[in-house]
Amino acid sequence: MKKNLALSLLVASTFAFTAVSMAAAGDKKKKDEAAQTEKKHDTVKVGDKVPDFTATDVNGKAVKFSDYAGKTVVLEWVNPGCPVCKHATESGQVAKMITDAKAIDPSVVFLMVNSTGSTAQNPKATADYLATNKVLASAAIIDGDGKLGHMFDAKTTPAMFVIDSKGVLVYSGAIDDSSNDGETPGKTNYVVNTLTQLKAGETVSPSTTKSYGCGVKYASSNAKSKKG
Amino acid sequence: MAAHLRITASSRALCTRARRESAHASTILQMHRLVHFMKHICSAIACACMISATAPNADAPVQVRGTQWRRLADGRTAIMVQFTVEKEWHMYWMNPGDSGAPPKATANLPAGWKLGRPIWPRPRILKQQDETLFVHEGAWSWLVPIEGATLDQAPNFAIELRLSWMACKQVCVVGKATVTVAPPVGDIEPLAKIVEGSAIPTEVVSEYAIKLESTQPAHFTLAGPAHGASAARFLQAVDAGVSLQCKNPCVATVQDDRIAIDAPVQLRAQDALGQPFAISGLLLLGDKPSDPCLWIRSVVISSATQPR
Repeated sequence: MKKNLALSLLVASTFAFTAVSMAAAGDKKKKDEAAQTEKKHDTVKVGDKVPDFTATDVNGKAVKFSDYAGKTVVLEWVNPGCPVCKHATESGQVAKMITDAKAIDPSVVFLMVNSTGSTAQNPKATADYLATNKVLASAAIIDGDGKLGHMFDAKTTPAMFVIDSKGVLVYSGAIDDSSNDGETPGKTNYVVNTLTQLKAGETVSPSTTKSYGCGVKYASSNAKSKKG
Repeated sequence: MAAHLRITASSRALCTRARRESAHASTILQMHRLVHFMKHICSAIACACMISATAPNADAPVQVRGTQWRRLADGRTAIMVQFTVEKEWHMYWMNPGDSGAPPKATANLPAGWKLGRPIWPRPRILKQQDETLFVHEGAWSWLVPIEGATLDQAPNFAIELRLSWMACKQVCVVGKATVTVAPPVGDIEPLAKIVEGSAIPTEVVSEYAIKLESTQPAHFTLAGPAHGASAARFLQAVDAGVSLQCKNPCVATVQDDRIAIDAPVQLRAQDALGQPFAISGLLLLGDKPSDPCLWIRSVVISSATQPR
C-alpha cells in the first residue's frame, strides 16, 4: 500500500515537473518570438517615419532627434578603429561630403554615431578623431548600448542614413558607389545625390544601397561572443 | 665464318650507331625537358620578382603568392591571383555579407581591352556574433579575366595589375599590391574545376529552370537536378533593386534528387537605376568547399515590369 502510494506520488511529481518545464519552455519561446517581432518592428526602413530618439554625445549631453524637426538629418556610423572609415575621414572625403551637402542644403544636420563597443567606450577618442579630420558634424553620438544602431540596423562603418525634413528615412546604405575597401572614392556620393534630389523634389534614387566596410561590433554581440 | 664476322661486325656497328643515336636522341630529349623546366623556373622567378606586395606580418595578414595564366571554359584568358590569408583572418566574396568588402582589381590596358567580371571560388559561410559573412580563407585563388578585341587571344604584353582588398579577424585591415604579370609562355593551362580545395563556379546549364517573376508578389524560382547533393542553397550576389526575402543564402528543398527554391523577392525600381531587374548568385550544391557550385543570373524580360 505504502509502495503504491510512493509510486503514485513519484509519477504525479514527474508529470507535474514535465508540465511545468513545458510551460516554461513555451513562455520562453513566446518571449523570444516577441523579442524578434519587437526587434523587427523597431528597425527603421526606407519609407518609414523615424521615431523620436534621444542619444548621448561625446560630451555626455543629450541629443534629441526632434530638436532637428523640419531639417534634413544625415547619420553616419563611424569607428575610429576601422581602416575604411579612417580612410574616408582622413582623406577628406567625409569633410568634402559635408561641405558639398551644405552647399545644397545649408540647414542639413550631420550626426556621427559610434556604436562599436570597443571604441564607443572612449568618447574622447571619437571626438578627437572627428576634430582632427575637420569633420564638422552637429553632434557625435556615443551609442555604447547599440540602441540607435539596432534601430537603423547599421551593419558597417561607414554606413549612411538620410532622413528628410518630414522625418522619413529616404536613403540607407553606402557613402558612395565605390563599393570597395576605401582605396578610391566613388564617382557618386550617395548623400550628396540624395540631397540634390530632395531639393529638386525628385524621388530619391537609389534609396537603398549595400554598405561596405568594417562590421559594427556591438557591445552586446561582443558580450555574447565572449560568453559563447 | 668471315660472313658471320662481317655480319657481327656490321651488327655491332649498327648497335653502336643505334646506341650513339639513341644517346643523342636521349640527350636532345633531356635538353628539351631541361629547357621546358627552365622556362617554368624563369616564369616563376619572374613572377616572384615582379610582385611588389606587402610582406606578411601582423598588420598585413594577406600575401599575394603569385599569379598564373589560366584558360577559362569559354575560351577567355584570365589571371589567377593566388592569395594566402593568415589563420583566423578572412577576405571576402563578391557579396561580403553583413560587412566587409570584396577585393578589387584595376589595370592599365590598351584600348579595346578590359578586365572582365572577376570570378571567385565557392565561399565559406561564416556566422560570427550577429553577422553572416561570405568569406575566403587560407590559400585561395581569384580570377581576373582579360577581355580584348579578340576574346581567344592572350595578351602579348606585361599587365600591371593593381589589387586592393579588405581582410578581417576581430579588427579589419586594408591591403594592396601591384603585380606585373608577364605574358603567358606556351600553352595556357585550362582552369581546373577545383582550385586549392574550392570549387570554381560553372555557368548554369539549361537543365535548371530559373525565373525572376515580377508579377505581384514578385518571386524567384529555381528548379533542377541535385546531382546527388543532400543540401542546396542559393547565395545571392549584389543585385541593384532586387532583394531575396529569404535570409541569404536561401535554403532549397531537396527531394528525389531535385532541388527547388521559391522565394519572395522585393523589387525596388528606384534602386535599379534604369537597369532591368536581375538576380544573380551561386547555387551551392552540398556543403563542402569542393562541392559544385553554379553561377546563375536571371533577368526579368517583361517590359511592363521594367524600372522607369
